[in-house]
Amino acid sequence: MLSETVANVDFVAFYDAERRSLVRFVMFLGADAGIAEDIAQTAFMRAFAAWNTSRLNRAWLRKVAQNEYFMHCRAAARETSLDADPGRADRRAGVSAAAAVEQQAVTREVLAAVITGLPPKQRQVMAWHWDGFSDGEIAAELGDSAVAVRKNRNRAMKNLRRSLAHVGKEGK
Amino acid sequence: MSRRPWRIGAARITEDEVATLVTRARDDIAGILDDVLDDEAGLAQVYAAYGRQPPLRAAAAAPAEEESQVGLVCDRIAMLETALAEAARPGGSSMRASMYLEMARGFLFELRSGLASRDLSAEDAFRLLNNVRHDLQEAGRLLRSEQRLPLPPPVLAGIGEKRELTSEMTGQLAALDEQVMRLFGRSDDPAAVPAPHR
Repeated sequence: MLSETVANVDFVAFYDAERRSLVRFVMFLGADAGIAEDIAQTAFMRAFAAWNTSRLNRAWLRKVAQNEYFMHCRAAARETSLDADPGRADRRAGVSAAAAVEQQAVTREVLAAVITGLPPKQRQVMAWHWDGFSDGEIAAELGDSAVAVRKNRNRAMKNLRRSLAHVGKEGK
Repeated sequence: MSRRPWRIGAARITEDEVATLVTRARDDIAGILDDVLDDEAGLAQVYAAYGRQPPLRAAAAAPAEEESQVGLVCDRIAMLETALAEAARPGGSSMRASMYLEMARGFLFELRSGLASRDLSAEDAFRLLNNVRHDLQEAGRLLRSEQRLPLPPPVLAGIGEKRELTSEMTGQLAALDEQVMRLFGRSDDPAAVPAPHR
């Protein structure tokens, strides 16, 4: 019973510590705030089921969220209905977040530069990179070589240096 | 023969400027999510999916023990700050490597202050630790590339020392991660102290 309590408390702390950064990670993959919130929540549900397994860590959580997001994109591409996933959780928080992001000029521009300006692979590598993962760790999680990760990171940076030039000047 | 005119390339900002903008955007997003996300409701949803009730949040029991654990972690952070201040001193390596080391030190200071005053959330603590890790990695990367430059041996030796220190600090950061996790109640040790006040 004690171990179950400890595991519960651990999961709560893990949830508290990672929820915002996971939602943000999915946003940098390309999701809007509402979708990102849903996907992060789904990843935590998987994490809860897999809690107490040694493989569970920050990288595992992000990989689950990333796969979930890609599945969502594929499903969305197939759907023609505007209400593709009515069973999803309430997105009011996500909608509020999206509205708040719109108010922040620099944040809006950075997200736009990342989401619309970077090819998916570069975006994916940068989302991991900005969450503190090394090239080697990213390579292991994405099934790429560290060299390929570094190249994608360098190309992404080159693209961002150009696409954010106007923000860099105005944002100072 | 006509001269080829200079091609003016598209305007660009530096990598550091991109990093600053991205950090600002990430911080903004974290702040916005802080305001809109309801963790209690989110947790309840996760537990409900498995037919369970979420546990009660750890109460602030054993304050003396908590105090001493926080003190130990703060001492460790202060030690890392001192080492970083030494490594970040200008001279030998490039300004950029020193700048990353200095930024890492700043994040550590922020972490220590927040833990000591008990006004840091778990999310903020791990964000700061991630920032420190990122800056150390960037400093390490820059120092590694500088070591390949044709510089005088004493300069190369200085860069090598800084690189070694940076690498050691990265290793120590993993231990610090674990200690901070324990402060926030995320540990395999049942004796872990309750989370600091949020």
